[in-house]
Amino acid sequence: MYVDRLSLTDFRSYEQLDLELSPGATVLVGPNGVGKTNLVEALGMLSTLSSHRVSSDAPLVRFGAERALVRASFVRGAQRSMLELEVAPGRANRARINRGNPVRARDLLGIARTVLFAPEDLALVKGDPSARRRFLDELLTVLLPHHAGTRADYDRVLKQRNALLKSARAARFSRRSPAPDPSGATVESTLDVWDAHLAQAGARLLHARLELVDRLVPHLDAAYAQLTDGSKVAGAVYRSSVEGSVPESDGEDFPAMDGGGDAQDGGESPAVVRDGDAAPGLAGLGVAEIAERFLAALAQARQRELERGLTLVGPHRDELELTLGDAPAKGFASHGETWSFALALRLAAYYVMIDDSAVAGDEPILILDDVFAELDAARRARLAAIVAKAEQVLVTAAVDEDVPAELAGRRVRVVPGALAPLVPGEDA
Amino acid sequence: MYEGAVQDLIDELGRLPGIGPKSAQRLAFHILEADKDDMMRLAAAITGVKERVKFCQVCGNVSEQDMCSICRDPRRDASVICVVEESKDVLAVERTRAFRGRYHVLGGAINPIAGIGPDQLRIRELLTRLNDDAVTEIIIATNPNLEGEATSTYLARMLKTIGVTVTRLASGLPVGGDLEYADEVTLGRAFEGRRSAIS
Ligand SMILES: Nc1ncnc2c1ncn2[C@@H]1O[C@H](COP(=O)(O)OP(=O)(O)OP(=O)(O)O)[C@@H](O)[C@H]1O
Ligand SMILES: [Mg+2]
Ligand SMILES: [Zn+2]
Repeated sequence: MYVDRLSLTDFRSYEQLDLELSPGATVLVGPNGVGKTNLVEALGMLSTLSSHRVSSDAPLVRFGAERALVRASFVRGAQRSMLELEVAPGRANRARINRGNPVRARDLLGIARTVLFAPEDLALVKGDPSARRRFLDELLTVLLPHHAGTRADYDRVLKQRNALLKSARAARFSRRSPAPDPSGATVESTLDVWDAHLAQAGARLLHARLELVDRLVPHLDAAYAQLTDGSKVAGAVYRSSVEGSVPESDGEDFPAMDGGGDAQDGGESPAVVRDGDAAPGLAGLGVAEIAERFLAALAQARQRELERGLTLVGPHRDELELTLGDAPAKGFASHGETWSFALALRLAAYYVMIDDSAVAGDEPILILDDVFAELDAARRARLAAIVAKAEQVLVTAAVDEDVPAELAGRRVRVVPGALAPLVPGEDA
Repeated sequence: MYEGAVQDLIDELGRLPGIGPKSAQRLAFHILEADKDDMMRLAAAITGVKERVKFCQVCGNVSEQDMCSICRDPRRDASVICVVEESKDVLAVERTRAFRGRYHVLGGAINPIAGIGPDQLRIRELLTRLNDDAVTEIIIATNPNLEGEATSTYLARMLKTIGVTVTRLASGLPVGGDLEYADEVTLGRAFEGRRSAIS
């Protein structure tokens, strides 16, 4: 597919922008801070509903404005879809499809497919497990939009269960407040109920993630080989806390304390299995069987969870472990290898989407934000050769020299300015 | 900030559910400018419910007497109890005219985030009613959302040992609606709760 028109209203630095695009390669060139990333960020949001840079919506709205509008027109084979997303911090974002009535933002999922490569992708390899979980879930909801519901269900049960664990913990520690303390028996039986719901929602998410990893791994290996000289094998294994194979500490609970994966409480650090199998016990299981394992894991963790006031097992604590050759990628890969790995993950997502295409012209739009500047000449050429084959590829760069000759498409010079920030430049 | 009585009214209205500061202000000025008799009737209605209306000692439904009209009605089937979250749900089920038994109003649903556990709901009162052998069936009609489902699971597990029939209202696609407009949760539930088409 390709996008032939992008309009922004009060999005980031743009008060109003209308940009015409065409299939093939387009290179957006302009100095630092001029608004190149802002453009591709907006486009990416129509496919994933969230920014690749920030987790809250407020920075996306132009200073002083109340809401931002992103509008684009996508062409997929003979079909055209006009998508519109309204970003209004503090309110639920809304969307419109083909100028219809407003719908939930979630209803956009699955229509526009883009794969965005950005400097932030380094975190996929070096960052907390949450970055990799997000990568999986984002890809999952683009491929199978109903899993946005699976994910939302799980998050809601998790929140309720954590609230219960937290109040149970508070009740244990404060002997002085006699009245509202739920009795121990009530807490346990209520927890049983939340366990059942958590296991049900969680098993659905786990099952979907495991299937996705199975589809992703062969492409990851191939993509890494394509980008490099092929001397090392890139792999990924889904380690589920439901199997007890993930270290206790997780960046999300203690953002300030994440010291790179060591267990930080109780010194309890289940050994990570490194036999190369996908989460040994879960591979190939159905949703119902995973739910049973999940319940067993919760039963085992019950005491520790009551002490911590936190849900310690489940897909929100899982890890997609990345390996390069015989070593984990995180902490062992060189800077250049880390970059190649991050690019290979995005390429693998691209290949999975191509596999998934149901109709002609379904392949995703590639967006490369500032990535060539980070690569040496050999990898630049390899990446350029791969992405040049896509139906549409948008590339941003601060200077012309950063863009490999293979991508000599239409060049657009980006200049600052509120009304017509884009001046179609001289064609290269 | 406004002076005295006006600000008091804005503050009080602002404490009502679903009413933000702006709406509270708009309502307060509407009351201020509206016909005096109309507003006195509103005030009397509020005083009236707070003075006269209480909760049925048996089922927890709103009532002007110790026992609500449904619990007092000898024609209602005493062997079936329909468990709902709120009094307004009693009205909803009554409108269907499909149910001839009695009710039990829990006063909410299990919701740890809001600090509501089984002890904050009228579950003990329900168990007391079950001591009477007349009751043979419980129909759980909590809301089809996460908290309602959790409450339903809790009740079903607890009642399993007591030896009454426990059923849960089927939740599914709204009648008269189009499949294409059903959200994925509803559709998913409808699939899970599907039944044989050949009877
Ligand atoms: N909400 C906002 N309102 C107004 N301006 C904003 C907003 N958010 C970001 N900006 C401005 O947008 C600019 C950043 O734009 P962007 O990240 O697209 O730059 P870029 O062209 O990609 O630069 P680089 O080459 O350094 O990556 C900054 O100058 C920033 O001040
Ligand atoms: Mg940039
Ligand atoms: Zn009653």
